[in-house]
Amino acid sequence: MKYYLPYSFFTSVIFCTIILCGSIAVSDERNDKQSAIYNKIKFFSWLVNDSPTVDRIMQSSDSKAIGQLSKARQLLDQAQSNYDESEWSIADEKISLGLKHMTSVSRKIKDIDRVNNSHRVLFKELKQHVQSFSVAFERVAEEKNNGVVDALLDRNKLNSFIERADALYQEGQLALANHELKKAADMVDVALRDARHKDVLLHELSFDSIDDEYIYEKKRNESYIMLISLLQDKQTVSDASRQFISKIMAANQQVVEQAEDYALSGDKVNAIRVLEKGTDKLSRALRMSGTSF
Amino acid sequence: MKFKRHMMIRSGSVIFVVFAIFTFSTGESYSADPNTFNRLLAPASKRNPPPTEDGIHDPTGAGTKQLQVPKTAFHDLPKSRSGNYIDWVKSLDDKKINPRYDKTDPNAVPIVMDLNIVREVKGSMPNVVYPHKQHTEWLDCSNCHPAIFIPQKGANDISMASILLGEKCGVCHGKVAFPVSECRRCHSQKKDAQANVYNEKKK
Repeated sequence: MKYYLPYSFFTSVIFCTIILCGSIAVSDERNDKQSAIYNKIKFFSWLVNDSPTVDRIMQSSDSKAIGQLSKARQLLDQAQSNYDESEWSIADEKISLGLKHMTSVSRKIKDIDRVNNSHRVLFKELKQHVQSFSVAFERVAEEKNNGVVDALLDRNKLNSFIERADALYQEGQLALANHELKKAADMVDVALRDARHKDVLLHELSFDSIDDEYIYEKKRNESYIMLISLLQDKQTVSDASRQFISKIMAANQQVVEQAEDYALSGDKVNAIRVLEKGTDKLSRALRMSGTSF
Repeated sequence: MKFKRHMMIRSGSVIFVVFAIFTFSTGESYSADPNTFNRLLAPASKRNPPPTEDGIHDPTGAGTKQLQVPKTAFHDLPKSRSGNYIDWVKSLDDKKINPRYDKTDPNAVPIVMDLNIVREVKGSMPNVVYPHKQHTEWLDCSNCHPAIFIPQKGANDISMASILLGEKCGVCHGKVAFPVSECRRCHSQKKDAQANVYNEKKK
């Protein structure tokens, strides 16, 4: 008996814990479901009473649409009653059915302003796209300076698409205008793709002045520090590594100050040299923070 | 025996507290803001949480629990070492996935551009290679041009600092594409002798 007492206590603690965890999980699930349905009812209530869709339906004088709205409102009332009586699944079904009514009626009575507005935004984007890619294509054609590349883009056809799109836009036929402009965008995309096929463009590292190089070097050093800090926040880094990284960072701070002193005295060459060495040392801290390069 | 019983009570209490902490901590969301930069840098233990815990979907939404859990969806896809631990490029190459290029046209095909851009960088870090091919298999040209990158050589001021702040490449990388901690995936071209001469000259 004297050995049973602690074991029975131990077992009962485990048993109680399991029961407690289980009941918390069940209760959480019930609360989640209840709160999900509450949120749905709240949203649905706004949709059938206060949303712009309601104004649109009422202004349309479409008797069928108005009838569907009434039906949706009835379903809301029923769902609210079901919710109050803790019949959550039934309430959920009613809301889902009501949402179907509202989706169907909203599709029928379109928000013309919103649709037109999104067409206008798309038209503007497509115009920018066609323009910037046409400029890029002409530049590539000029660089390559051969007839084959030049012939990849039928400018007359491209212009006719653009002109047709502009005319349709002016007439207010926005969807059709975008359709035409999309043809122009695809045409110029394909031409540029073919003109650049298998090319490798090299962006050489060159600076207009020593001041530019100093700014670049400062930014490079800063970006290493940013990346090290970010990795230490997000990744698992051991305490020993953190201590070592801190030392490197502290030493780098001195390097940055030294570089600034050089720069202030007009000696950008040494300022860059000092920063380059400091940034190289930061590479080690970067590796210790969990990256490999 | 008194001592033993005391130990039993203590260990029982410890287990109870551990259970309680475990129970309450499992309901925690991973991120409050779905667009938090570098959320793909999350440690492996927090990778690909279910929709109710990912900080993107409404955990109280009725439909959220109906969504497929990423770990199930990703099960057969080629693995990667970071981000959401899926090699999406390989997944596409191996035809494990077949994303629709146009939401209204199931037969639309992407305009794939095979153009590499190499950017020289200073120091021990290899040069950056940007492959258009892998990007345009997923994206439309207009996703990046001209809003994020002007399609003109020298017109874009790209730095690691700007990427880390969620601009330029950082618009996607770290959020929906592999994170910036994967240096080698972009800094992939070893510097040739010419570049070394250049660097020496600069010094």
